[in-house]
Amino acid sequence: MNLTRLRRIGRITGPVARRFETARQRLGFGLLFLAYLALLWGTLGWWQTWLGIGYLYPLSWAATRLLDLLGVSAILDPSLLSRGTCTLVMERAVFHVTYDCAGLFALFVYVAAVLAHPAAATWRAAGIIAGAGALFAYGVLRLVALALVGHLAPSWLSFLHLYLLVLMNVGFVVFLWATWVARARPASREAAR
Amino acid sequence: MNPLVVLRRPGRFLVTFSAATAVLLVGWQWVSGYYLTALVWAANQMLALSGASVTLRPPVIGGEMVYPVVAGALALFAITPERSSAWKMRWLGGLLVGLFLLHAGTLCLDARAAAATHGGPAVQGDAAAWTWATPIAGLADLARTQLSLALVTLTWFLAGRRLETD
Repeated sequence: MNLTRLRRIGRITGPVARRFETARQRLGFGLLFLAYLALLWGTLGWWQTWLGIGYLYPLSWAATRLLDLLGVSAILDPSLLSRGTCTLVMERAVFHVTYDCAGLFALFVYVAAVLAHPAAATWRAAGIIAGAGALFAYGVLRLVALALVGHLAPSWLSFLHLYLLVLMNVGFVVFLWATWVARARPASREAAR
Repeated sequence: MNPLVVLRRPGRFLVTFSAATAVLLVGWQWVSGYYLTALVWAANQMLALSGASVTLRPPVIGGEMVYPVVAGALALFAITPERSSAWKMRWLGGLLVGLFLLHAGTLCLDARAAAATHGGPAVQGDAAAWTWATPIAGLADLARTQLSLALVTLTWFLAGRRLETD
């Protein structure tokens, strides 16, 4: 039941109809978001191996190469990749890069929000691909930043790793989603209204 | 033009959010201990209501910060542009209550699980309630952290949805 139809009924009009419609849309979005997020989290175990090969390892590898370019010697040890960990050995610190560090759960939140939003399928696909790329790049930079801080100012490492950069994930996901929503073409049913 | 407006300048928002979060996290270091005390009290009430014989006692956390996601939630809503103070207070208030319940609930579940694993008062031979210190390592538990972050982002996504004409 959309806004026009509600107005046509005549019982609910103006701001009340708008509020009802907004609340209905919010509820639908929230339920879909939770369903997609639960699906992604729940099935992680099935495709964990592929994520390790296709996401965690390339991300750790890119961070290692970037650190080398920046003059910080780092060795990548992927022997624990099957357990969801890549080890990054540096002169003053050893990082165990997990899915959490790689921003995988931030990616899940973003994907769930994109899928739950009423947009055309092609825009959703484009949003997921572009967002995954952006989150990958962000994950690499995040890891490099952590490694540099661990190398140059180790006392700040905990603050950044455990607190600030974890919360930055929220900010980055919000940034990505808001950017995508501003460009996304609505689904045909929505556009027809 | 897309009728749904979330943020007009997402890039600026990201920069402001980072700065605000860093500042609020510094302040949160002093407050998080009180938050944990309140959480433990609430979790103990939940445990008592559910008839569990285990109680929690807050640990000494020293300089460690707990539940930093609360500071992130404050920053996220505080710096959201083009929204009224009433809007911010309403959504942030709801979110903080949700986070508090989520955190207290997970502490409660942790306590029950610990009691089931390590034995309750009957096993301990102690007629009084079995006391269990909240594990700080457990507070950083992956699921709990991710659930909190998901709740914050979901609330913001829901709150941020509005039409251009609103």
